Order: sequence, then structure tokens, then C-alpha cells
Amino acid sequence: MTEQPLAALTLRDAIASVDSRIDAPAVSQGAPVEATSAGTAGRFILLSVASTHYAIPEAFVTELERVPRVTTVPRVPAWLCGVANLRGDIVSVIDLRAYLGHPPHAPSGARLLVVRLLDEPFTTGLIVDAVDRIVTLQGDDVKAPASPFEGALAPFVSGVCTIGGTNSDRLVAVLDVDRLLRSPDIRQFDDPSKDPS
Amino acid sequence: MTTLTIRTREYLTLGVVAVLLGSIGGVAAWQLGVVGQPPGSFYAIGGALVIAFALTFVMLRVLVFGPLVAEAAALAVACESVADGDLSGRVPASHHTEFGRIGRAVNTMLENTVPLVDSRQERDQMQASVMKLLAEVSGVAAGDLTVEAEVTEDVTGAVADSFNLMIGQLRQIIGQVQAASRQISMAVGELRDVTATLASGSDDQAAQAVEASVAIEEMAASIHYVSENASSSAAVAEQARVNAEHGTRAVTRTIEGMKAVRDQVQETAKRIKRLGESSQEIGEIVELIGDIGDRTSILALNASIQAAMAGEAGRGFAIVADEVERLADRATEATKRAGMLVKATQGETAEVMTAMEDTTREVINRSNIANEAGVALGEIQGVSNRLAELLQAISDAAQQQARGSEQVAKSMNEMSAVTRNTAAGTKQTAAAINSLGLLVDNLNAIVTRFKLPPTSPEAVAFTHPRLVAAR
Repeated sequence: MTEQPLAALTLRDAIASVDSRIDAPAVSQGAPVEATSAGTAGRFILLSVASTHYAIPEAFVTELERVPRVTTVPRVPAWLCGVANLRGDIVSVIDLRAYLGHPPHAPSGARLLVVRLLDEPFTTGLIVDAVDRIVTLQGDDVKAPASPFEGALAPFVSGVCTIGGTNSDRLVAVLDVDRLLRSPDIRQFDDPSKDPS
Repeated sequence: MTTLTIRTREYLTLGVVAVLLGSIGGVAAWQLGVVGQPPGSFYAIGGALVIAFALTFVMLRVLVFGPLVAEAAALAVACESVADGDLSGRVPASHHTEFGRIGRAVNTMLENTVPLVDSRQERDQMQASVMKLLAEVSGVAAGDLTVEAEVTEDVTGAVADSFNLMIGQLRQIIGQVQAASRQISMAVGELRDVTATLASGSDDQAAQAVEASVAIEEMAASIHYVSENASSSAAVAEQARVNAEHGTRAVTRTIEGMKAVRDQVQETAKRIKRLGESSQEIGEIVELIGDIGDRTSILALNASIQAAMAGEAGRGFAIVADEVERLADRATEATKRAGMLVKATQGETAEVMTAMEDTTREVINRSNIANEAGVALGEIQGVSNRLAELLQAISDAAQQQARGSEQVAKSMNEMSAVTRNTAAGTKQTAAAINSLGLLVDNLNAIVTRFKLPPTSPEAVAFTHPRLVAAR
């Protein structure tokens, strides 16, 4: 993504840019769902929680929102904020900062990331500090972590990669969302009655 | 006759009788002799006559004159005693004879004379007293006033007393005269000195009067100069007043200008405040745009996700979403910068507002200062007016003084003439005083002839009070 002066950016330019890319030969547009499930290649959403960058496969993300009004529920851990109504769908909301043991201080750019399991109808909302953008990673971009990650999300890190940022390269942990959503912590409050399986 | 017969009573008696008889005989003999006898036999005739007389005497003594003699004797005794000064004796006047008549007459005479005639003793005594008095007082004629007559109990005592009194008075007078003459002499000396001083003083005064005239003329000139200067100063003060008036007008204009500046500053402040409010609104709008950009970014991400889920069908849509996201990102970035700019603008606006308020305050302060300057200039105007009046008054007074000093100069000239006259008069006075000194010296010589007791109190008793005061 090339930076252009703000003044030079017009709608016409944008349309022209879009047209050129549509007419251009197809570039690698993300792996099919099968490849994505392997978790090693495809489009990933970059996000950050407590100054740590993570990448989540796009396939697990259904939508992205600002943090909605959350209805708290009793007798739950602090990282489980409660439930929220997203256009009629009720989703539970998990604060990843709190899950990682940080104080629940949501930055202004905090986002609610709605994630799902691919093979069963389970969705939940994850509150992250910021969502950066969508990147495409090749299979060999993701490597095994050189040193074990620490913290609550360490068991769910499948690998690390280096993403070129605006200022410098940054180390990004690739999260295995499938494993995260199947963890006992997340699923302990799952309503069995809702489970169709 | 008296010297011959006063030895004894008998001789006297005899003498008297002899004289009587001799006279009778003598007369008889003279009558005989004259008729026929030469002068050489006069003595013989005389002797005869004497014998005759003696015989006659004896006869008469015994026969005729015995009683007469007795009476005569008594008369004689009485007369002798009278002659001796004893006027108390009386003649026995029992006889009815001629002698008795004489005796009675003598007695009567004595009775009448005794009160009139002192006795001889008294007379002698008085004479002695008078002589003594004369001797005592004879020095006075020579001017000796030291003498003092002895006061006795007799008649001259009173005279001596009176004389002493008179001498005392005279001594006092002479003493006073001497003292006065001495004092006059001294006074004349002093007068001479004074007159000399006066004369030289008059000369000096005349000279000084001339000098004073010159000085007064100079003074008149300088007063005239003062008058002119005062007039010039009055003109200057008037100019100062006019200048102060101009200054007041200028200050008034300055104050009006300050007021205009203040109004403009306040207007500008209002506009800047409005600008601040506008920038606030712009900030809100920028925030809104930022929000829209944020939402657009989210939408774009969601669109991208949806496109990915749509597989191959959503490929073109994914590109659009990607572009939209880029636009949204850039919009967000731009709004961030715009927000920062707006924030900076607001900060600067606040600073400008503060500066404007400071300026307004400063303008008000300056206006107040200018106001004070206006008041001060007004006071200067008043003071200049007063100054001009005062200087005019000074000028008038100086002119009056100049006229007065001319008058004084004239008076000084007159005084100079008078002083010259006075000097001449003083010289005449000095000459007169010299004459007076000579006269007083003469007077001194005269009164010094009078001899006074050494420490006569009267000599210093007379002191002229004015001369005492003059010392």
C-alpha cells in the first residue's frame, strides 16, 4: 500500500485504482477454505492486544464492529464481559486484555471481532485493542516460535511471522482460533441447549 | 572837757561849779577887762578873778551853792552814772529848784531814752560781736566760701546763722554753678566732638546721598529691565498656555483614538472568539469525519471479509473494499491531522484571546494615562494662566517701582542738597560751640575763684540730667 498525499487522493483516483486492480490478472487472493483451515497460509487479520501483535485467519472472522454496549452477566470471570446484541444476534463478549491478565482498559480504537468455528455454529466476540488491516501470508512466512510464548494465549499460538510495518518490521503471533474457541475456558459457559450437536 | 573832768567825782563837781563860777567871773572880768585894761595884765586879772572866783566859790559853796551843789551833785551823780552807761540811775527830784526841774527832766529823759539806748556794755558787746562776725565773714568777699560764722547767743548769732545759711545757699549755688560750668565745659567738648562727627557725617552723608542717587538710578534701570522681562515671561506663559491647550486637544484626540482602538480590539476579540467557536465546530466536524472514517474502515474490513467468504464471486468486491479501506485509513489519517491543526488553532485562538484581553487592558491603561495627561495639561493651562496674570502683575508693579525709584532719586537729590546745607549749618554750629567753649572757660575761671570745701556735697549735687543721659 503506497502512501499518497492526502490532497492528491480523490474519489476518481480511488475508482481508477479499483478498476485497474479488477481488470488486472488475478493475484493470489487468499487460499481456499481448506487451505485456511491448515492455518499456515491465506489472508489474516492483524490485530493488537496489550502491545502484542496477533494475526487471526480471516476465515474465522465473521464481522468486525466497534465495541458495543455489553450487558454484564453474573458469576463469570472478569475477562468475560457479558453479552451483546449484534443486529439481533446475541454473542458473548470476551476481553482479551483481561484474559491476558491486563487491566480492562479499552483504548478508543478498541474493536469487537466476531469469530466462529468453521465446523460448528459457535460464535463469540473478542475485544481487541486495535484491528490493523488484512494481510496475505504465504505458507513459509509462518514459522514455529523461536521461544515459547508466555501468557494466557501462549497455548494457542501456532507460529510467528514478521510483517513489514510503516516504521519497522514487527513480530506477529498467529493465533489458532479453532483451538482457542474449543478451549475449556471459552466453552465452559457455553449453553448446551444452544449446541445443535 | 569830758577828758579833763571824768577822773573824779569831786573834780567834776568842782569843775562844774568852777566852770559855772568861772564863767560867771570870766564873763564879769571880760566885761571889766574889755573896758580898760591891756591884754598883758589879763592873767593877773585872771588870777584875781580866780581868787575871787574861789572866794565866791567858797561863799557860794557854803552859803548859796551848798544845797545847789548837793542837788547838782546828785544830778551829776545821776548824769555820771548815765554817762557811765548806767541808765538805771535816777536823779533825786525832791527839790523844787531848777536842778530839781533838771533832775526831773533828766529823769523823764532817762525814762524816755532808756528803752531807746542800749547800755554801753551791750553796745560794746555787740560791736565786738559784729567785729568778730565781720572778721569771720570777711573772707567771703575774697571768694572763700569755706568760712563758717560762729553762731552765738547774742544778736549777731541770728545774723551769723542767717549768714551761714546764706553762705550755705551761696556755696550750693556756686558749687552747682561750678559743677554746671564743668559739665558745660565737658558738654561743650563733647558737643565739639559731636559737631565734628556731625560735620564729617554730613559730608559722608552728602557723598552717600550722591552714591545712593546713582544706585537708585541703576536700580530704576534694573527695575525697568525686570519689568520688560516680566512682560516677556508673561508672553512666554501665554505661549505655554496655548501649547498646553494644544496638548490637551492632542490628548483628547489620543484618548478618542485609544477608545477607537479599544473598540476595534474588542470587535476583533469578538471575531476571534467567533473564529474559536467556528474552529470548535470544525473540530467537532473533523471528529465526525474521523468517526465516519473509522466506521468506513470497519465497513471496509467487513466488506473484505464478506468478499472473501463469497469466494471467487467476491473477488472484485474485495478489491473495492480494500480501496475503500485505504480511503478510510487516509481519511482517518487526514482527520487526525486536521484535528491536530484545529486543536492547535484553538490553542492559538485562546492565546490570541488572552493577548487581546491584555491589549484591551493595556489600551484602557494607556487611555487612563492619557486621561491623566489631559488633566495635567489642563492644570498646566490653569497654572500658565495664573502665571501670566502674576507676571503681568509683576510687570505692572515693576513699572510702578521704576516710577517710584525715579521719585526716590529726585528725593535723594533734594536730600543731598539738604545734607549740604546741614553740613554748612553744622560747621557754623561748631564755630558757635567753640565760642561757647571760650565763654564757659571764662565762666569756669570766674567761678573757680570761689573756694569751696574740699568735698562739698553741693559741688556734685547739681548734675544736669540730660548731660548724665548723654554720657
